[in-house]
Amino acid sequence: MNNPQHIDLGSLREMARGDNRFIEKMLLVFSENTPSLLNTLETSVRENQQETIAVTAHRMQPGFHYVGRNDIREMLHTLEHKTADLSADEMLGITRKISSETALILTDIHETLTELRSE
Amino acid sequence: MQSLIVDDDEMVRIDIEKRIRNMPGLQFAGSCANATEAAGILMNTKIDLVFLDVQLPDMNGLQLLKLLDNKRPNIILITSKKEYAAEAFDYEVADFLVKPFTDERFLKAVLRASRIRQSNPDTAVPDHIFVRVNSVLEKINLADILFIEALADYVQIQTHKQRYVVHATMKSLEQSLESGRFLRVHNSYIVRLDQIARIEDNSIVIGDKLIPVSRAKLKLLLEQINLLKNQ
Repeated sequence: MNNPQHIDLGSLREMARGDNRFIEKMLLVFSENTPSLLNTLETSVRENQQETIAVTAHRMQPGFHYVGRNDIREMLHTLEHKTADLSADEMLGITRKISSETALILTDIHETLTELRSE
Repeated sequence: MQSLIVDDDEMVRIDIEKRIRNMPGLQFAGSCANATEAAGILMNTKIDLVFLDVQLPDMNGLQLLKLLDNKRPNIILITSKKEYAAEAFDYEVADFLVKPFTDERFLKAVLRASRIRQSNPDTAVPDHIFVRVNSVLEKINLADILFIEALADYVQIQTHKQRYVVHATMKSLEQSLESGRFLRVHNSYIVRLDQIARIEDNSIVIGDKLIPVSRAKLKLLLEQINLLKNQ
């Protein structure tokens, strides 16, 4: 049985109350929407577009909560609220961390979706 | 209550839709991602309750409230920023949910909205229903109902005094009964929460009747019971 390392489905399972289609729908939405949002975030950080950083970071947070990664959500919260306090290098560092973790999360989600669809 | 979701995040909309569909007394009326679409729906559809995100792409949710007239539906604001709470107070919303929120917190907000609706003479849910028994219309006070049981094409409404066998569906009755006071605990049973004598494993006891509770509803039942105890 799939044992994802980079996501925690506890919260989604509790919400789903046995409805795997719900879990599948949520994971699908995350995997479809997050890459383009991440792309926007990376571009705006590189170009120091503070408003876009804040708006995009805000939009990305709920998804990471649902897949059980509140640590990433906190990093996004920092980017949303502390763009004026962080240096360009600091923002870049945070964004790279989010990016590398997201790649691992998406791999786990892909495997989880495959397993859910085979049930 | 016909319920509308207004939030630009698709996962949040799916989340809240699920909660609405699991909540007795709430009916999912639709969802949208911006204030413009929401305004259009509210002008053309009877909506009783709106779950409204504050930060929308085209307009602040509070600005949308300003545009709605005095006969607007009950509003539950949802946001990730606690700072909006003070401002929301000025708009007389039913409640304010900070994301992420628990099932219990969601239920409390819905019950608040339901109580506000009940206290408004224009929107209060009647405290009785009329049912056809044989060829006679009988009035049944909701306060007298103990539980309702499905019987093939009929339902049996058990009150303190008697039993009514009525040609109706469980779904239609569920929609007539106020969430927070009644709960459908099983495909075949709706119970009045304050009449539950005790809960044993996956069953509840009302009077001398043992009523099964489905696994899916047990958690919701326990949350509602706890809320009754804590109010």
